[in-house]
Amino acid sequence: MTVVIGFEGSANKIGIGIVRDGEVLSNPRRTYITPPGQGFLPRETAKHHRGVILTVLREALDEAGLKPADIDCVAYTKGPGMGAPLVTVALVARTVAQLWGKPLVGVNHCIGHIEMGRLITGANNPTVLYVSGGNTQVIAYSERRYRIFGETIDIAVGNCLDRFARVIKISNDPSPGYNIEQMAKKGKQYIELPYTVKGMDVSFSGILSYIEEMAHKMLSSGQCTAEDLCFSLQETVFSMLVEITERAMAHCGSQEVLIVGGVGCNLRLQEMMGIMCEERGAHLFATDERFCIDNGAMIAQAGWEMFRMGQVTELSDSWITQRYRTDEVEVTWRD
Amino acid sequence: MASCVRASMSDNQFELTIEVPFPSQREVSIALQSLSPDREPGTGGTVRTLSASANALSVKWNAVEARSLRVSAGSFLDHLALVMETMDAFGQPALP
Amino acid sequence: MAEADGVSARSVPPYLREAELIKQGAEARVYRIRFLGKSAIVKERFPKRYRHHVLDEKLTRRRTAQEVRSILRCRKAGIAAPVVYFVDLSTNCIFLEEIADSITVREHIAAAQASGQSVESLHHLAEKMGRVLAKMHDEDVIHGDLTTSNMLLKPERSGDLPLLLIDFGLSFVSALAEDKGVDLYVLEKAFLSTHPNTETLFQKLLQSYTAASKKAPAVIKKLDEVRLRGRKRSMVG
Repeated sequence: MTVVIGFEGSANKIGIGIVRDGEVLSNPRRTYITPPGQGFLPRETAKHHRGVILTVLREALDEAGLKPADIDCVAYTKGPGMGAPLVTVALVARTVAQLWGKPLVGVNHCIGHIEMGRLITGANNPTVLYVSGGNTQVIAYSERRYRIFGETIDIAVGNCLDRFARVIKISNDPSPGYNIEQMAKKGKQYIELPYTVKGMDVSFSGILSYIEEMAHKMLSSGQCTAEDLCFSLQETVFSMLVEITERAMAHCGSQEVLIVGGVGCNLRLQEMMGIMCEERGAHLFATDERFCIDNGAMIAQAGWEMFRMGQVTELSDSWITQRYRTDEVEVTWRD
Repeated sequence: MASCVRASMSDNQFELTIEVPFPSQREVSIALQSLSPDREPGTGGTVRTLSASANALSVKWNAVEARSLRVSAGSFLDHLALVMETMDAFGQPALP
Repeated sequence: MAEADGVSARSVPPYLREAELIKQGAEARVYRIRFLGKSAIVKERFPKRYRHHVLDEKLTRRRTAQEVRSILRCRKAGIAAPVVYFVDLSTNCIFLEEIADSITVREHIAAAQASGQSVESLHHLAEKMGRVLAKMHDEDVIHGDLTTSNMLLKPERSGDLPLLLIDFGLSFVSALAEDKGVDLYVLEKAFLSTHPNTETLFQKLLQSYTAASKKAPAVIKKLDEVRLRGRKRSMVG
């Protein structure tokens, strides 16, 4: 049996999870929540993580009922993400790895999402839609890499949603995306918004600047409600995402879709993707907020795969990196 | 936590040295290896050097700007404190 | 949301009821049919139930029209693309010439790689792609969905291997270097992710593109900018 503990803190969540041969033993997490209208900044986010990380680590061990001696490997997020929070989490991971005399494995955050999604859903070789605050990618595996077939050419879909939430002061608790989703359910009127798809790539900056400029005018003139805007924004950006996913599937001849990343727990996105899959006889795999949203277990799971293939990260090479593309990682654990 | 701090300035060059004592060589080495890997973010001309002796970690800064020296030293001390808290909380059973 | 789902089950155009469904692409269902004695392909942009009907109708209409317009514009300029026989705007169906015995560039490269041919043996093809795209961009046609799946090769008895462009649904007309640069960027990403270890091949493509078009320097500059934007993008979360 191989037991891996994973440390994640590349954005505003700090999570530590323990995985034993495909079984999630514990996965506690805390979220840094900012006031409405504000995003999270690196320094404050790092300070938040620093304040709770040792408590979360204690919880992870206690919930799993394990002692440090039971752990075989310490995995942590090497990147991509925000520098200061990544460093904070890496420091603790390096320190416990040495204290407990365990090897360290640096994990690509995006690979963590993919491997966790595969573990939880049992998807074998899916086209992956990875959607979060910092990433929007359509990925498929071939020849030892997760290859990026499509992605945003400017901002991530989650970033677009978060920034829209800030414009009309939607609460960040528990997350702006969750609140947009709830409000969208009450939306009645569909407002046409810019729709930008370039092959398997998408662009969200045009739609964001359009809605940033128009939102207050439309709301104050009574032309539509905030709920209508949430509804219309979701319908538009999710249509774009489903479209590029379908295009990648057609291009790759794939019959499976896996949605991962924080935006991936949006039920409307899952519903739309499900309809697309049904229309082409394909199969949709998705997970809920426990595993879609950044968490420690996903880093543990990717670390588990890497460690089982004999991959470890020397302390001197354990620096974090804010930019780390999904296709830089050699996927040694798949055929 | 620091037993010895020296600061000086010459030719618009600021220098700061801190010595941090630890109970044993093992802790010094852990702290050194936990704190070394990440490079200093590109704050204009500040160089941080870490080294270890038998029971102390020494950190030396050379900087052109006092402000960037303060930022670098401040964040380093934060990191150091986190490493030491982690050792206190999770470091009891030394390897058999 | 209720209305989006309320659209009744699609009605298949009568002429497609007996037609042979060849494949379901991302955009459309593709059928084989006889049209005025010729073998033809019908591309049916059926309603996508996952998206709001207002958005769906707008996109479908626009793409059907744009596809036909760009094919005509390309063919007028001597760029090979299937002949448009007929357009049924009420059902968003396009009747196209069937390019018999053709294979996609994607299949061609994959086959060459699988049979152990060197990347160099494909340089000729990459150069041809570069020339065709340069010509298309000089006509201010932006394809919008360039991949190796959207280029066909049709071996001829003379030994020639003409290259045809298909799937113009996302195309539009623009003279901006930025739009042309993004067009090449989209192709580059699709190319390199579909065909691992073919960086030199894409280089060849860009070289011949540059040699073939006077406007290429501005486009390549934009391509570099778009690439850099991608690399600089912070990836938080």
